[in-house]
Amino acid sequence: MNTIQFLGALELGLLYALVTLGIYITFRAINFPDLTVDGTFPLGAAVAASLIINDINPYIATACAMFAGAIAGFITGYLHVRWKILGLLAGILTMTALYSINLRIMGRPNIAILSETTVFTVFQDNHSILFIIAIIIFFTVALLYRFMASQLGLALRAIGINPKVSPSYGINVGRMTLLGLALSNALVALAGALFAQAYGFADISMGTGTLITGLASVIVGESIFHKYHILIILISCVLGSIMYRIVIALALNAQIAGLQASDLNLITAILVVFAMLMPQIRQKICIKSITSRLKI
Amino acid sequence: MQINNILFKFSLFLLAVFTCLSVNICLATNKNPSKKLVTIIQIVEHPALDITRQGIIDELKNSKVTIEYQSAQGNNALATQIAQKFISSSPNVLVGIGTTATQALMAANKHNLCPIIFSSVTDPKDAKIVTNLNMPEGIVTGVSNFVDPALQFDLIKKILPNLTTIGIIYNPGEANSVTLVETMKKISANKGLQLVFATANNSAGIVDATHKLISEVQAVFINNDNTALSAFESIVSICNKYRIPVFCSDTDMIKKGAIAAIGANQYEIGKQTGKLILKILNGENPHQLPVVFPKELDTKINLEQAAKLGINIPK
Repeated sequence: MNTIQFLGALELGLLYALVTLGIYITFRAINFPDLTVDGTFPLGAAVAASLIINDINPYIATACAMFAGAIAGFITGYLHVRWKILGLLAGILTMTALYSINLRIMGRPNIAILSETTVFTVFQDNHSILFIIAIIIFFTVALLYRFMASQLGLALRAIGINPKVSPSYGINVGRMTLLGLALSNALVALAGALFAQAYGFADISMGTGTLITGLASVIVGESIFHKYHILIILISCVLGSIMYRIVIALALNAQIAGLQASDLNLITAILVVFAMLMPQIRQKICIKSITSRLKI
Repeated sequence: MQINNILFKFSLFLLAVFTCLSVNICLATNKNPSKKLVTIIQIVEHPALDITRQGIIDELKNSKVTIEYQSAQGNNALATQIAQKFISSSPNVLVGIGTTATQALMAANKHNLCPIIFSSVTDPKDAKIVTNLNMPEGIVTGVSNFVDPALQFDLIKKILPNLTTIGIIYNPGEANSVTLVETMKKISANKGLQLVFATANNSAGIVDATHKLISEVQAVFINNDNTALSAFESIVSICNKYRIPVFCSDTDMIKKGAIAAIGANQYEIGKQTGKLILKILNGENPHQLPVVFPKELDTKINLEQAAKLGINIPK
């Protein structure tokens, strides 16, 4: 790995941190296994790219993409809360439907926006993408922190911890689930919209693996930092995402060791498993050393 | 205590990152500066694309170049990361096999550090890879795999003169297929053919799509759609049951039961790409190299299959 590759991994890691934060909200905060994200990521890209090629201001296009993502999340929530469809299935249904909807929005499977004005063309600088994404992540984390620490945010987190007791504190579990899903999918769609603008294209197949990447990043982040404080959890999501990308960058360089190009997914999986086992191994070593000391 | 612990872990994390970084800088740079480097990125492992890559590699075999290859395994974010890795090793030529692979290369190559050669892209103009096919204005040129469907329709009409309706199975999520479907729609009226379409989002959906077509068409035609080609056996087995001939653009599919195939030879496309790469390595500018289209079309007929379906093949 060299500098360009490292900065590239940092850039993608920060971009996918939005996905990671979104997945943290559903899988961890409200404890809802939401599979919509594999459809929302391309949805964000599709909406942003389609609007941009029609000469709409890229900021408005990005905002519209977030709004579309929120609606997609809301639909998953609505299917679950109102019609009691199993959460996992509700997500899969919305994701499947989004494939067709994304094709409708784009009108074709691939839109190139390489030469268009995007949110990243403000500064004609080498690292403008990295810089702008870093700013976006900073504000997203700050806003999410403010939100999570507010009354509403605490209510949101409460339903994930104990959905049975929450209503007795006046929390509407259904409404909080809808809010969490809309917020999460808006973040994922924002990531999709930014991906399309940063790398110049929206493609129907770009959602593949979004959930896996995000979930692995959440877990990698959790394994490095413990859950002391909500701000630390949010930051560890961002760092987890960057770590995940660095792991892939390392795996890409593993060819030197006689591995094939097609081994990449396997290497990535092994490295992520290793990262997740680290805290347990560390704990065991700690316990051993303590017990041995006590014996003495 | 807690804060100290977090700070400690954070610094450990940073330390780990920078160790990786520095170790890798030593490993990655300056392996063999005198030898020319060609890096190939392929969007997904697929028989047609694999054989194109083989063509490129065979064409470059005799010249002293190092070839590095990575597959994005169908993942666009990964394609971007591979593109960044390749550009950081400053190769002499970047090669993208497939539309999104090339787009990822172009996005990572914003500062025009290396020339890019694309391969097996059906519509480079629509994908904004080049705007002028005869005089590419940037540093990007390559080989398209576009074959005029009119030629294919002519062959089909020759074999089945009474044909009026033909079924086409494709994936609406594949840019290459959608381009071809649009072209086919335009020219089908002139050829006296009525097209019936069935779509499938993945290879498992092909079976349903084939069943949908069976009652409506006299023949089925698969035109360069990766999804349909992956499930080609299932199409043939269903069509055989109802004695409907299957035509194809991929000559390799003759073995799998297509009655006739006319299309670009994917291996030759790879060879043509290899020739373009050699020209760039010899100092030519992509600007002077027009986009190449398949030179020869392969036509193959499966007589055994024709006999099975009771079709006479005119000479």
